[in-house]
Amino acid sequence: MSTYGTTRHHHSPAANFSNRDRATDYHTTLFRRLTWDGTVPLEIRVDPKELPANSDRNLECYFVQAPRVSYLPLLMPEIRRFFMDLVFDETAAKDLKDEEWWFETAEGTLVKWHWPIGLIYDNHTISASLKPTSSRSSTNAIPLRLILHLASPPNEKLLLSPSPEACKQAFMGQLKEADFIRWGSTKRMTGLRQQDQDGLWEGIKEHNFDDYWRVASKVTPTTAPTRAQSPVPPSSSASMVNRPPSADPGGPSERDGAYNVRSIPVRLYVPDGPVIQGLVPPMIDDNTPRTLSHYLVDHIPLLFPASPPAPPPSRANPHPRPPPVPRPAYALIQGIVMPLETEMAWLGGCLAGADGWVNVCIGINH
Amino acid sequence: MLTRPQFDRACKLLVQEYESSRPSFATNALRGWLWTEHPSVSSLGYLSRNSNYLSRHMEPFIHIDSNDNYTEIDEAAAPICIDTEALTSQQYVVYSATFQVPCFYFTMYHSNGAPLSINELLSSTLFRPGILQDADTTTFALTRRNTAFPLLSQGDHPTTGKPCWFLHPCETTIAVEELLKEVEKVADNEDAKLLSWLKMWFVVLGSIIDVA
Repeated sequence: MSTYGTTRHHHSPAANFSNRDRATDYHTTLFRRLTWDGTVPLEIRVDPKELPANSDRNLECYFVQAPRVSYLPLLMPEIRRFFMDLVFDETAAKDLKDEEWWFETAEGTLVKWHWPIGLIYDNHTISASLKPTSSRSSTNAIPLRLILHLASPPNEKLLLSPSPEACKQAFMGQLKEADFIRWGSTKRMTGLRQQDQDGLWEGIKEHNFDDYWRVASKVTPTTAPTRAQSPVPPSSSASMVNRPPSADPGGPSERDGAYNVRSIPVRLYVPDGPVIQGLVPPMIDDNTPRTLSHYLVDHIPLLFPASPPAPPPSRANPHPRPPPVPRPAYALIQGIVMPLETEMAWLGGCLAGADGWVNVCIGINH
Repeated sequence: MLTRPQFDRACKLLVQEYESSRPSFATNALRGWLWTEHPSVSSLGYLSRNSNYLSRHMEPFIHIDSNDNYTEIDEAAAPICIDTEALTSQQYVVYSATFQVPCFYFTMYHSNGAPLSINELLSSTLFRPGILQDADTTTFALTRRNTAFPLLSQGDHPTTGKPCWFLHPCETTIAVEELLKEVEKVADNEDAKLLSWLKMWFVVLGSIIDVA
């Protein structure tokens, strides 16, 4: 597997330390691979009022396990093939223009085609969990049910033309913005050859991890090689990811490292609320990496109240701990409930979407 | 560059300065703005106002003979500009969290409520002439050659989430700061500096858009 090294250095066991510096370390690659391979179930049906005459109603639903990092416009060819070839009657459907097709959730919310599919799904899952009728139970993934409309897109409420070209431009724009946020300029992205820039989008279209990361590893910050000591075991919360070893910020020169960026590209999605974006420097001070907890306490203190300090030591309690704080909310990233001690810089290097952004969706506990 | 609190302050100062002033051509761009905040999240405030423009429809000069028959198109004569339709525009000055500068967002509609296509936008009186020079257009963006970002493209309004057209802010800081160097120093107080920065931003914006 050629996935562990950049194109500039071979990762051989005998490689010296500076070569290992350059090669993306095992843990980073593992989490990037897990993110890349993440999928969500979609169930797409055409609005029954819009089905062309003589459609085969037995086949009215298209099911697809879609990559989190992909986009709805990229799924359009297979969706169109399914409906045109199998469902719609040829004559009745010949005047349909797929540039007029648009999606709504089963609950009637417009779907933003320029959002990565994983983000659409996570937001929807949280929205659904907050409805009074939702059940607490299922940990199984519930399909995101989408209604496909065939005409009259509400242009004043949706960005125009969900064509693959528009989608590509939006995607490249997000990558460049992420670059700017990290380093204060878009030099790293614009310095790539046009062929390489196009290669990023091709990697998304073909859903090819190697093709995408061959280019992305040139512009995405890495976390430094791991320390020898073992990491703190994960807390007992419902997290499904082992806490990764923390990178050593004072370690070997990591000019382009995740802990040296100006700010991490992160956005916060509050249920039924606006998208929040602010400055997120990787370190609180010279020695303390910023964690998810710091970030959330800063931005949404009502949902993530700061822990009060521990009481002073007394004879009865020589090693006091801070009192427990109620946690009304949780943070979902790439569909995983994240431990609050996760470092923001690590998230930026390992769990960002393919567009460079870490999307944090906030859910409320029942 | 401005921090968000600086942007908020500058905008409020602008609204204050012009809300009771007499209209004048020179200050058209700076008047009539309203400061609005998000109902539950702080630091998402923005300026907004409505404006009217006209569509600019260019016709070639056509000779008509004495019998009212069209004869020929006179290529040598300048095309006639026919201002036809009244267009309404909602305009917003929002804070770009990425580039940390103000950013101009807008929507524009025909009198029947339909949104304009990009070509209709570019040929309206909103844009200064020459906008199309050295630029490529698609149905969803206008990009000047050799630039990293499209000059004009679509995005969601950062506070309301509504889809709008917006002008990319990445070149703004450089332009504003260059211009500020040429201008006489204002008094040292922070408020005066912030207001001056924002006014200069409107000047830079005015080179692309008619902020009437």
